[in-house]
Order: sequence, then C-alpha cells, then structure tokens
Amino acid sequence: MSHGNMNLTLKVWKQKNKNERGRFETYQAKGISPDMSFLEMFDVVNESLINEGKEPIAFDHDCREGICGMCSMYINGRPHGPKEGITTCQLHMRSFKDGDTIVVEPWRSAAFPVIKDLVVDIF
Amino acid sequence: MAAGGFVSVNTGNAKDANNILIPKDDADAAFNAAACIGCGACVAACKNASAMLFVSAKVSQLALLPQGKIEAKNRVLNMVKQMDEEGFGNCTNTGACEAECPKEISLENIARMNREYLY
Amino acid sequence: MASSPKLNAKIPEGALENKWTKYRSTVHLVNPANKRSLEVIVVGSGLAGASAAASLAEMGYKVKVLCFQDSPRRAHSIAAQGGINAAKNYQNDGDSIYRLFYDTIKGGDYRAREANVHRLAEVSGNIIDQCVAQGVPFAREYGGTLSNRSFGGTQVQRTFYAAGQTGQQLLLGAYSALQRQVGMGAVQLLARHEMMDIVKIDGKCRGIIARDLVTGKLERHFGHAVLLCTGGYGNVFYLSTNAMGSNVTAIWKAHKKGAFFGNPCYTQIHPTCIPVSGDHQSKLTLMSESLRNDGRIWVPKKQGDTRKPTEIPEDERDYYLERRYPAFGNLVPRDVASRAAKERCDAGYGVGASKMAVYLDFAANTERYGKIQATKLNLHNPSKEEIMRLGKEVVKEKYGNLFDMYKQITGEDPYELPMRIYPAVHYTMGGLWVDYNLMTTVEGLYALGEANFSDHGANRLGASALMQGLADGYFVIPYTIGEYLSEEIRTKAIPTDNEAFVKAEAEVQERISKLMNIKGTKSVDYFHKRLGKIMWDKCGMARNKEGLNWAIAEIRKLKEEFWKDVRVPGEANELNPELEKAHRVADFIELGELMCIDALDRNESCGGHFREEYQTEEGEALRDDEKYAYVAAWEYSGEGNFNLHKEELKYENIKIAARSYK
Ligand SMILES: Cc1cc2nc3c(=O)[nH]c(=O)nc-3n(C[C@H](O)[C@H](O)[C@H](O)COP(=O)(O)OP(=O)(O)OC[C@H]3O[C@@H](n4cnc5c(N)ncnc54)[C@H](O)[C@@H]3O)c2cc1C
Ligand code: SF4
Ligand code: FES
Repeated sequence: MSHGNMNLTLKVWKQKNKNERGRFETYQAKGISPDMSFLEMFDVVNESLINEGKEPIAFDHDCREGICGMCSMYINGRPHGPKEGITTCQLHMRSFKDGDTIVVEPWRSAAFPVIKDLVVDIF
Repeated sequence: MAAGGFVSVNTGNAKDANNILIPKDDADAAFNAAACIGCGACVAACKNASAMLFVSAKVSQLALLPQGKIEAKNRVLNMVKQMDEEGFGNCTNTGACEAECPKEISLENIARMNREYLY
Repeated sequence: MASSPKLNAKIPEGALENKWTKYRSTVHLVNPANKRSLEVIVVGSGLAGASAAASLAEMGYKVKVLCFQDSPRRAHSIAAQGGINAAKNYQNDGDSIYRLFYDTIKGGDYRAREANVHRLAEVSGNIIDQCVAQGVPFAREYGGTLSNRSFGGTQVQRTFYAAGQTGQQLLLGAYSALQRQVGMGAVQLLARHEMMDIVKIDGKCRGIIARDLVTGKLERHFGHAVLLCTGGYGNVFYLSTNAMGSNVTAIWKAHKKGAFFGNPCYTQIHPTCIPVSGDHQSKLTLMSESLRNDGRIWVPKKQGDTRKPTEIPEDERDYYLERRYPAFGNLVPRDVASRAAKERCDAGYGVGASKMAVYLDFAANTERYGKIQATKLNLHNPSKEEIMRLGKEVVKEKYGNLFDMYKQITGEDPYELPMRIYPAVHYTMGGLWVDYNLMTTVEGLYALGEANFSDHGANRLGASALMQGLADGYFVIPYTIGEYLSEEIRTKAIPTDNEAFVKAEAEVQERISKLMNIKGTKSVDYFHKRLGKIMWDKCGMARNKEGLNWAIAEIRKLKEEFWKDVRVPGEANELNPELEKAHRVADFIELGELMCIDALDRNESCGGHFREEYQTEEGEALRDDEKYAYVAAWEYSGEGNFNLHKEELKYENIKIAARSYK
C-alpha cells in the first residue's frame, strides 16, 4: 500500500543478539508520507518485510509521544535524529527529502549492550 | 541506573501538602530537572559514556526541594557510587549530553550536583 | 432486581461517611513476622502497580513486580498529561469530599458503586500529601502554595498538575518509592517480562506464568496473592491515545480462568485529540483536557466553510458547547463533548482536509491573559500585538509542551491558528469486576487501577484515573489485602513444580507454538487494524443493535482468519516483538466480541455507552434506571460464551437524576 510519495534508502544496524556480531543492512522505504513519524515509517518498512517473508527490524518504543524514553536510536549520527529537543517518535518524515539515505544505529555506548537490532539494555 | 534517587518517606502520615511552601521559581526549576525521560541519549552521546546529566537531573530536582534537602548529601554519594559501579565513565564537561538531550536538560544540573557532592 | 449470588461486593455496613474509616481500623492485620513469608506478585508498574508494590514492601511483604517495558518508569502512566484531582478545597471554592464524590457519581452517569467512590474521594487528599512528601514538583503559585486548575464535569478547581506532564511526575515519585524498596531487597523487579497466564490451585490464585521477553523463556512465579495493575484495553480499537504496548492480555487471561469482566463496553472517547492524518497512523495523540480551561471549541456556522479559521468572523462561528450547555460550556464531561463534536461533523460542519475535526481556539484567552499581564506590568495603552505577545507567554507557561507536541505532529503553529481536534479512544472504564477489597471473583487475585471496573461508572471524569490508580495502590490495597492474607499465614510457598504450574506453562507453550506455526500470509497489524475498524465503526461513539450484531459476526470471522493466516516471523526463543503483538491481538479479538455483546445487552444510553435507539429529542443520552442500574459482570464459560451476572447499584446517598450540564 502506498501512503505518500517519498522514497528513501535505509541503512539499519541488524544484530541477532548480544553475542553475535552485527552489520548494516540496506532497505528501501517506499511510498512514505511526510506526515508519518519516523517510527511509522519503520512500521511501513516492517509490514512489507513481513509480507515478503523477511525478518522485521526490532526497535523499542511505547508511548510514541516523547515521554517514555524508549525509542532510542542514532539517526544519521545523532541520538534521536537531526532535530533538537525531540525524541525519535516525534521526528516526522517531513524533516527528510525524497531520495535521502538514512543511517540508523542503536545507542553506541559500552554502557548499553545491544539486545537485538536497535534494542539496547539501558536499565 | 536507578539507585538512590528518592526521598525516604513511607506511605501514609505525610503532612498536609500546603504546609510546605515552595517558591514558584524553585518548583519550576525542580520540574525542569525532573522532565528527564531516562532515554540515555546523554550517555550515548558522551565519549566517556558518563551518565552525569541523567543522574544530576534527579539529584537536582530533589536538592531544589525542601523535602529532599535533608538527604541531599547522602543521595549524591550513593548515586555517584552506583554510577561508578555500573561502569559509567567520568564527566569531562564536553557538553555533548546537553546538545543531544531531547528534553533540553541543562548542564547546570551537573554543576549543582558537583556542589552537593563537594560540600 | 437482586444481585447475582456470585457477586458479593463486601461493602461494609454503616453510614457512607464512616464505612471506610471503620473498616480500615477493623480489617484483619498480619503481624510483621508473618508478612516476611507472604509473597505478593504485582503485575504492572504504572501508578497503581508501583504505588501498591512500594507500599506493600514497606509494610514487610515479599514483593515481585513485572512490567513489559525495560524499566518500570516507562509504564503508560508516564504519558498522563493534565492532572490529578483531590478534594483539598485549597481554592476555597466550595469543594469537599462529598462534592468530589457527587461529581464522580454524576459524571459516571449513575453507574458506579457509591461506597467505592466515597472512599476514593476520602483518600484523595492523602495522595497529594504523599506525592509532595516524595518531592513531586507540582505547579505552585508565587506565594508557594499549590496551584489548581479546572477539569470537565466540575465547577470547582481541584486538579493538581505539573505542567502537561503530571503522570510523568507522579510515576517518577512512585517509581522512586519502588526503587527504594528494590534497593533494600524488599522488591524483586522483573522488567521486560510479560505475564502470560495466572495459576490457580484449589480455586485460589497462586501465581503466574511469565515470558522473559529477551530470551523467550517461560517462567513460573508463586505468590500468595497476585495483583493485576496492567492498565486499560483501549488498544482494542487499534488507534487510541494509549501507548503501543498497552494491552488486555493479563486481565483477559484472568477472565478466562474465572475472573468476571465488569462493564466491558464502557469506553471513554476523549474529545480533544489530534485527528487522524492518514492510513499510516499508528496511534493518536491526546491534547489534554486542561486545554479546555482556556480553549473555546467551535465550528463555522456555514456547512463546508473552507475559509481559514482566522478569517471567519466571530458572528459566523458556532461555539456549540457554550450554546448547548451554558452552565458548563466548554467544560462538559468528555462523553458529552465527544458526541457533540461527532454530531457537528456528521452534519457537515467539520473543518480541515478530512472535515472530521473541530477547532479548539485559544485566541480569546490569550488576549485576556495579555491584558492582565499588561496591567500587572503597568503598561498603558498596549498595542494588540503587545497584548498577544504577553498573553502567549502565559499560555506557553501553562501548556507549552502540549503546543509543541501539536506543532511537531501537524506542522501547524497553535499559537497562531486554532488547533484542529477530534475525539479518540482514550480510557476504558470497564475492567475486571472487583469487590470493596479490590479482589476479583478469583480468590487471591486483585485488580487495581485502570484494569478494574470500579470507580468511574459509565464515564470517567478527567484527572480521576491518576487519583484512582494511586488511591488503590497507596491507600486501599495495603489495608484490604490483610483481609485475605491474614488467613494465609499458614500457607507455605508452593513449589513451582506443582502440577498446576506445569500445566499452565504447557498451555502457554502450546499457544506460542501454535502462533509460530501458522506461518500464514498476513501481519499481526493487518488483523489488528481490521478489528479496530469494526470496533470503532460499530462499538465506538455511537452504537445500535444492528451494527453490534454485525460486528459480533465479523469479529468471529476475523478470529477464525487470524488463527489460520497470521504470520509471526522470527523465533520464539528470542526478543520477538511480532510474537508479543500476536498474543495481544489474539486476546483483543476475543475481548472485542465481549464488548459488543455487553453493548448489545445494555438497552439504554449512559455515559460513554451511547445507543442510538435510546436518546432524547435533543440527542442526549437516555438512561433506563428501572432496568439497567446494574454492573454487568460477565463470566467466561468457554470459547465465545459468556454468562451475565448483575450487581445491583443502590443509591442511598445521592438522588439519582437525569444528568444535565445545561
Ligand atoms: C495520553 C494520556 C493522558 C492521560 N492523562 C490523564 C490525566 O491527565 N489525568 C488522569 O487522571 N488520567 C489520565 N490518563 C489516564 C491514566 O493515565 C491511566 O488510566 C493510568 O495511568 C493507568 O495507570 P495504571 O497503573 O492502571 O496502568 P498503566 O500505567 O497502563 O501500567 C500498566 C503496567 O502494566 C504492565 N503490563 C501490562 N500488561 C502486562 C503483562 N501482560 N505482563 C506484564 N506487565 C504488564 C505494563 O508494563 C505497565 O507497567 C491519561 C491517559 C492517556 C492515554
Ligand atoms: S538525554 Fe536528557 S532526557 Fe535523556 S536521559 Fe539524558 S538527561 Fe534524561
Ligand atoms: S516512544 Fe516513548 S519517547 Fe518515543
């Protein structure tokens, strides 16, 4: 299903669990609407991965309104992405351009081991 | 990353809430420090993996309020000890945490915590 | 009508005002030595769970707490915005315990239990005291006293708040009390754990089966008592203001093991939420009710008016709430405000691209605040711009984070243009049926907070959920649990190799294998969205017999399809968010059916339950107190079969009347 007309390339960190090594995986995000949040864009990508019989991207989230503090990830080298004063779930796709490549990584800190993909152990 | 950030009060027997008067500015400052969502961006952004911003936000909130004053010193000692034990690094004041914090928690909290720690 | 013999609410004798005080001081106690060997499992770490766990641990019980997030501090309560009620009468505006009690019963459209609501009002003041002692930074006046604001359905100012982040501050308070007990070894914390079922031995609840969400391992946990503090089930509608993980699984599993489900169809649709922007939408964002203190709701008087809101002159605007309900105006309760918005949009007066929205406008009050500020600052003849600038500063201080949130999501600046809002699913008044002690119909199994049905009748008033969650956890359960546990001091911890545990675990395991092995063609979300649409269209803001019958048939089909065609990728023995969702959605589907059955049974309109067949000429809800002044408590009796038990509601202290806010 198409929601909008932005097409993006994602490079996302995939890691099966704490013990295995991870690597970047490339995905195409198609038909993205500027009104979507970053996590809704992930929902769309995951939906098509599931439909293709592939493994979706694991990420933490809950409130999706900037208060629970779960949606931790690095987007293009910055925690919670390029905009100041907001969390990932509050970042909207209108902050990106059609054709952009977006790099997404888990919190990269020795203090926070990766549990799976973008999910880390903070507490 | 949770130890020690409390006021030692059991349920029940608290006295009437308006018996403690708190200047609006102090209440607002405490609230601003308390707005931290515990997301860890500050730690992730820090080259030393220091949790100072996060921890100091809690310490500051309670140190700014009369209810928390009594235990302020002990609280700082405990929280810093815990932070060290859990392997978080030291703060060298690079300011990367403040720049990346989604809730714009201020570096002033770190300064305030250091004050509580030293004196 | 007499109550079903299976429902004993255990309401203490005596005058309403004395019931709780007397009961509290005569309820059985457990001595400190015995408490140490009594184990309590608390599922959920929101306001209800965290406050209960901390308080019980302080008293000496051995406590285990579970939550599915990575930390208890992330429970959905963290997202509550507007505030918490308490009958403190700090504003000297005529508030009292009785008035809070009365407002809550009336707000609930005379479908709540008097004794419980009165107790809630009685302890409300203690909650504020407790939170302040913990260091919760509530908003204050310049003189240093606590500040209050108004919420819907009341004419006093009794709502305490911390900007638009009250839930966060209260939860962090309860969380700190909990962490203190964790630090002292009195509470064992199991984060990233999901309860999958309860375990019953000889009719009593004796523990749970949980799944470690990181490893996928199933675990058995024994408890002398189990407290379900697992929140509401609004996500049965797919789109709601609830956090993505909020679910019904814990209480649904308990229901299937014998806990009756109270009033499942009572759902609260909140009038002021950001409208849906497209079919990618994953959740809806609330704009707190506190905004209705200063925002005026309107639509154009002309149908299909496409002018910008700022270009529509004053006399061409219809402030329909002020017009229809002059006494309460913009502060009518939520159910009334939501229906009124739907009525205007259905009639063709809606605004925005989808026409499914109304305006929430702050201009008038911004100007008013600006003028007050100008006077305070001794500015003579300030310009309109100057006034608006000063006014915006005041508005920003009160609602800054909400305005920012709105701007983030919609890309529009609410300081310049009115907000566009529409009703959305927000809260579920229904939940497990509990008696006065908060015990369900399964002995030893309790439900607290949004997970129970107890205090809000058919409609909850704003800022009362936080109050109820903390009342249950800090001030009710610590006493009432003694009634049961005092009889359990001779029960030794039951080893978890007991056959009841083994069997319960095997059942959970079987279900997981079943879900993993369907290997169908559709994602979990696909089914969830379809369920949500059925529920919203037929069991949402307006319901009717035909629609509900249709919905029940559709849901049964959906259930069959789900179990044939869902695809759960990945493996069971690892972190697998799709598997977690699959479990939850399977339970939502079953719950959806019961909600429709309940809505169909209730041939009246009350609170959030609006049956189109039962309304006054002016479109107001029409109750039928003769036939329906009861709590509907449903007993599960096998796959898709539910028996109705009625608890009669008696009003001895309030005269039951038509609910009017005119
Ligand atoms: C956006 C929003 C704003 C709100 N604003 C207000 C307000 O201003 N004032 C007000 O009074 N009310 C408000 N409410 C309502 C109020 O926030 C909730 O009713 C209340 O917080 C519920 O608290 P709780 O403790 O019952 O459950 P929750 O806070 O929902 O906690 C549920 C807990 O249960 C755990 N859990 C659930 N299922 C399982 C399982 N199977 N296994 C293990 N753990 C499980 C979760 O991890 C979580 O810890 C608001 C609600 C929303 C959605
Ligand atoms: S980045 Fe800010 S909000 Fe996040 S944990 Fe650190 S101080 Fe708290
Ligand atoms: S999902 Fe809660 S802060 Fe982003």
